[in-house]
Amino acid sequence: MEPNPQDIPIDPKLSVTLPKLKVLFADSSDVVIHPFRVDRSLDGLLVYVENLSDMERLERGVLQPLRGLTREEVLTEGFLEANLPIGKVQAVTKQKEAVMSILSGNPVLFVDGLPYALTLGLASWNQRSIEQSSGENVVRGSQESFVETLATNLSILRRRLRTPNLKTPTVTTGLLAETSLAIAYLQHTATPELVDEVMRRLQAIRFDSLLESGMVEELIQDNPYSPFPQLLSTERPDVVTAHLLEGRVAIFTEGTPFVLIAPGNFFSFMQSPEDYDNAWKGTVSRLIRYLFLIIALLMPAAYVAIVTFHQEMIPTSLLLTIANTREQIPFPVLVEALLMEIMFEALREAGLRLPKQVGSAVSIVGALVIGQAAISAGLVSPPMVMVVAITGIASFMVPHYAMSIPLRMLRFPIMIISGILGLVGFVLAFAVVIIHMLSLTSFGLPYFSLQRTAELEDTLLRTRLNRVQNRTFLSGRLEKHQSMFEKNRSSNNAGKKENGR
Amino acid sequence: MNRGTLSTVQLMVMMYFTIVTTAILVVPANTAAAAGTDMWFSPLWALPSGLLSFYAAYRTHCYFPGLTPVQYFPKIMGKFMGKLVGIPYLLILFFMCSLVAREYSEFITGPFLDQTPILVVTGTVMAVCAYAIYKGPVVLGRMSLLFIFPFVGLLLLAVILLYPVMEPRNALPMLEFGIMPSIRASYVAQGWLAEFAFVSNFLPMLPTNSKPLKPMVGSILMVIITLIVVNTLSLFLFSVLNKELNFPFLVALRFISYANFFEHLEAAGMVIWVSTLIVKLSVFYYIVVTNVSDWFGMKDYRPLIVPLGGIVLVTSIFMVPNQETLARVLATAVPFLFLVFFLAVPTLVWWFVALRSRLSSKKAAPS
Repeated sequence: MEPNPQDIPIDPKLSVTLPKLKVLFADSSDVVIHPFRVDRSLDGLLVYVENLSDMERLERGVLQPLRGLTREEVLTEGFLEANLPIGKVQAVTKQKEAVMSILSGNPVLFVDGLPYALTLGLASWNQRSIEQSSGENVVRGSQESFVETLATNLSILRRRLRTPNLKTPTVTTGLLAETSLAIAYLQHTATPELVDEVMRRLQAIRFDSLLESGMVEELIQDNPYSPFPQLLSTERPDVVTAHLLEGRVAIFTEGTPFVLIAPGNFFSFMQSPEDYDNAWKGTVSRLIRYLFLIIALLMPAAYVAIVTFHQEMIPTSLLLTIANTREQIPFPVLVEALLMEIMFEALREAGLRLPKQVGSAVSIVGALVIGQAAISAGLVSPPMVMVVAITGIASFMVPHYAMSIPLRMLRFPIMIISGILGLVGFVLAFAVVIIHMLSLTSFGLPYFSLQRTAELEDTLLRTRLNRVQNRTFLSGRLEKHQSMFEKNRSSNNAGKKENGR
Repeated sequence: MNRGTLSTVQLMVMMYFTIVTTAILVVPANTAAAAGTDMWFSPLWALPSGLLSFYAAYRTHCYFPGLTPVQYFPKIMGKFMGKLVGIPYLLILFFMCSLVAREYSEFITGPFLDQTPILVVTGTVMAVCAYAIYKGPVVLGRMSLLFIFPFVGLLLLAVILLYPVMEPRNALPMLEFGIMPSIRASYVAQGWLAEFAFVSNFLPMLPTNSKPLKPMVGSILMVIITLIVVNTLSLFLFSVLNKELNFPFLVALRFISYANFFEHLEAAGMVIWVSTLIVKLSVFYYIVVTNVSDWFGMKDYRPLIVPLGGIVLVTSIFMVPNQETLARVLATAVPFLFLVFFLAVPTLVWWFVALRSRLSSKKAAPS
């Protein structure tokens, strides 16, 4: 590892700084160290990373104006900052700051005889344009999603929340290579305790380098061993906006479009942004989602338990059909179910990993494997295929992908215990899952917390918007704020007719 | 050690489950034996003992806020006597916890898993309960709040779906032998309602300014109403046959048959019942573990979960030889023990403490 210059101040003599930089950036072909001369006598140095800075503006805004300046002008303190035609010029005195600035794309200007360097805000690089979100689709509603650049993401958010209350402090972490993190919250809406706690946990991270927000999530969540997600991750700006308005805190990570929202709560994983665009009819789709959440977790287990132990529960004609189809099958129901479920998980995983060009091959083979062929081969019965298919569809209905992972994972142990102890095992296994979920917290907040009964109107149900609105999730602060605001407004508008709702 | 906080609603529902889960199994058959056609209103006579046992526990708690009985006994009677009185309480709590576990295993091995060894049946549910109380009593409160919906739903569904086959004439003749048989028949229900004294273990966990009186009276009334509904249902369906049936409510669920689809709901009923039993057994298990740890003055009860659970498990298997003995014990000795330990003694303690504080305040006033 290179010895990083830590708190060493920048030496005014360029003859000292230049060799240091040359050592530091040896073998870094993308770093350009460009010496130049002002007024034919004063040496200067421009250091930047190629393609991380705006080359054209660097030439027009720095190199050209410098030619016309005299030695005295350049050496006058504060002159360059005021006179270079660039929007953001900052003086730095520490070597480390200068190096970080170079690496994040801002060219740094050293002048012989000046005890500081100037960082020029010219960072600009090739980035992915804002595209449609790939993981969370909606029919109606905003289509844009976040990109990999932190600054762009913050600007997307700022565009939606034009209020000075939106605060976005940054944290830098990473021992080997630094990663910028930013948190975003609405002042007066999010509780200060929550904001402090998020900041504290982010600052406590000790890790070489954070590549994705998933790593951040794992390092800051309350129960790292729980299969259930405790922070919401989304790539949709509208989801982040909605949660900030409810008093939560968003965590942006440089290099990933996925933004974390803390604290996560079970019900927020079951909300889709579209619920809010379809008036109260959102309730219907939401209830269906909860129903299929339970099906995704329990249906194979219930089938195994009932067919193995409690045949009397099945209506007689259906029982006869099932018995008829199972006659040929060599395996017990549990083995049959495990076989098919594992096969289905394999297909899903294969479908995710395969290149797009061969993707269709998997779907054709998959349809054959867990479809007609498996039945005609006499390995599984048609009802079992139905069960697996319904379970598969059900697990795709969960709006947040992170929530469908524990469902898929926990399905197997519940299935096995149900195959051993019947419905008794089924309910015991389910109870363990429930107990676990009830004991979970996210940033100290219980997983199933309803801060007040009125919150029910936006969890299982989705009632009319004017009832759901302003139900601050975490505190009464917003309401207080809001009522003060409303009072002011009504006193200003005294006499005027207000359109109350 | 701070064991977390419960809300009054959580406590209310939790105590409801603590009483009602096994009561709906035990009470109908026992009431039918003594009261005959008057069994449907017999649980009403248990109301006073429920109210009294709760009220005694509540008032005593007011003198010692933040303490459980095992902790305030030494403060009342001196350290040695207090600890000494605590010992029979610990023993009876062990006995009761094992009893609940045994009732569960009898219920499961009888109609459902008749081949499975009782050790496996009890052991699995004890393991689940151990996990629940490891996670803390707060989880029990949340769990009961979650399970109340399917449980009440099941009761309502049973009443609605069984309506066509009910025979209200089974309740005639009313009061044939006067009022006494129904009062005598409420003996078992009285014993079960005396369990409301357990609330004293959870009262310290309520927020300081909460008012548990009304919700808890509501909880007692809910239990009485549930028992009346279940008894009425059993009476209207099976008449005098009730005393021959082990679990009349379960048999009643078997009667449901609609549209060739809603059939044999007893397995579904069992699923919901087992989920509520997990709450009940966890509450008893938790009380055992915390009382023992409080008796020894331990800071954390968690190290005791597994060893004490093992004792409960073994006791539950060896306590009675078979279901007939269990039924007899439940009908005769158990309500008596409950009434002595959870109604009579706490009431005496309450009076003693109230008297003493009144005397001392009188003494303090003139000086």
